[in-house]
Amino acid sequence: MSALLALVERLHFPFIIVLISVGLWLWLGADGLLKRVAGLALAHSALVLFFLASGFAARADAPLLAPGEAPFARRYSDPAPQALMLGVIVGAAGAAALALALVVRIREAYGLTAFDALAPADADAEAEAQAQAQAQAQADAEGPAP
Amino acid sequence: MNAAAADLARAHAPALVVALPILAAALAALCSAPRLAWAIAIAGAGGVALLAGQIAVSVWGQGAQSYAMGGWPAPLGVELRVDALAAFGLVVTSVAFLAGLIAGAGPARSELAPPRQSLAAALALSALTALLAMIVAGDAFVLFVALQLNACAGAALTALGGERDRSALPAAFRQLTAGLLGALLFGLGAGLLYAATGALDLALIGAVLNASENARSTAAALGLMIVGAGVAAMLAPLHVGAAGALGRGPRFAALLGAAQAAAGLMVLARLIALVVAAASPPLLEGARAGLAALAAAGAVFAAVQAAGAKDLARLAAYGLAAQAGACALGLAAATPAGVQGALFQVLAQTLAAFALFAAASRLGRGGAPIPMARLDGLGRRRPLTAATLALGVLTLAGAPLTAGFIAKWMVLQAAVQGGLWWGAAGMMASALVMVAACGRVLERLYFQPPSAAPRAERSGGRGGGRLRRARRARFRSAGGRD
Repeated sequence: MSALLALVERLHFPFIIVLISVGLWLWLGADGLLKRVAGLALAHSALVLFFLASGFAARADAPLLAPGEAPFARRYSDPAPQALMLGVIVGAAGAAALALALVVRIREAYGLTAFDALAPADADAEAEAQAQAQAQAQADAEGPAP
Repeated sequence: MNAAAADLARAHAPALVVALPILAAALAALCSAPRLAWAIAIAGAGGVALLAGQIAVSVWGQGAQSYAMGGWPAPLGVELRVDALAAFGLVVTSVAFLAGLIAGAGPARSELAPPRQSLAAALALSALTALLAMIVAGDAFVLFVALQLNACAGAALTALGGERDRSALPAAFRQLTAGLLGALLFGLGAGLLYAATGALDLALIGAVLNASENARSTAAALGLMIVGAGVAAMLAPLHVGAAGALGRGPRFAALLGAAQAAAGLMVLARLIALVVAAASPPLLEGARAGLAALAAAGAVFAAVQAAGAKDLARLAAYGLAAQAGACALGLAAATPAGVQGALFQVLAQTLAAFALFAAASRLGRGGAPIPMARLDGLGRRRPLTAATLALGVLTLAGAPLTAGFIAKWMVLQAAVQGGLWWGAAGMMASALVMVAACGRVLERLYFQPPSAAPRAERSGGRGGGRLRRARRARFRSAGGRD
């Protein structure tokens, strides 16, 4: 019986591990920038769940209240992580908003949102600009500008 | 009346040192006049530096203090911890940041469009808030939030460079990713420790850690937190986000980078002093070896990157990351001598990086890139800038008679005494590679003929303008093409 309870108490761990792994996989490995932002949000949600779950114990009693004294006394969970996680939710929302703003700016500047295509696009632009500058320098050398 | 206000400020200095810059940031963001915004930023950072000095004096006189935020002491409330470590970090970071703002306000005005400048000032102050919170926080959760704020403010500052060079935008995204990932790992570690000990205050965690038998989760937590703090400290291989962004973002943001690395290293130092040192002996040994391995490998890796850098700003950024490795090795020794050496190393590397980034911001006008060829013969054309650069790279390489040499010597001694001789060997290798990077700069500064250089510089400036124009045209066409 107690083994079963212990198992039930830890059931959330595999769930959180899967959630955070998927989040990190998307965040660090996805090609599309929007998918990366989604992964960021997912990983932070998993962190929130992890803290909340660690503040909850299945057989805990509320302090000060004797069991049986009040019906809710058997449903106690630690309020400190819940309060802290409000801060994390706000922080994660702000970070996701900043990341989305960056995605918008990147799309404006590059016209694409595939992360791995950005560096080659820069290299292309660099080569093109250098060729243009060289052509201009040659034109300067050949004849004085009017 | 005035004396009463001064007393109040003195009593609440640890809280004010964090509150002042964030209030100033809000004020600067509201200013439409760029000049006023920069004045507010410099005044705010100056006020912070004064408060930091006051805190340092009071710690010197009365020893370590703990400030209970809102009158709620540690287990329930949030503790701000003001000890010698924090006082040192506050003074170094706030002074480096103030100097960076003063030196960087000019370049920023030429680099950014006027409407962006008050934003830049506000973001710089937000970043300062995060750094100061990282230094004074005695609570793992406050540290987590400060790391998050640091990542966001730093990435936003880098993204401001996107106007001039669009490659700053992906760099900012990468910086945000790395910084937030570091914060997330730190938060997960804090969560594991909370589940094991029921405390978030670092000193309390340290006090109950030895008694807890849950060693495996503690080991995971310590590893996660060390890696998370290492991202903020720009420890290579975790520096990819921050160091790349320092080389690509606006120049004035790079000037603030020296202070950022210093604050990150202070988080690492606090973690070692309060939590890791209190862990059981096998855990302590594991954490020390892990951090030393990370530090030594990172120092070599970043030094190789610095030696191969094609741009002066990137050389400075990678050099800074290599220094962070040396500092972390001192912390990994986890002895008083090691921590002393590490703190001295923080001081030396902050000065050196500041010198390098200041020289870079003088050379790359308007935020233009600075290829190494621009340094040819600079010793004759601009002796003062060249001397600053030379001093900076010599300190980074740990040349004798510089602060960098003394700091590295202290770290090496501590590492060998602590049994981390292989870490010391890694650091020696890193220093040798840094000598090569440094030699490249010195050779160009003083031994290359300056004959073609002035012309190259002039036409380089014009070519740079052309390059930028061509790029801008390319942006438009790319934006339309989708």
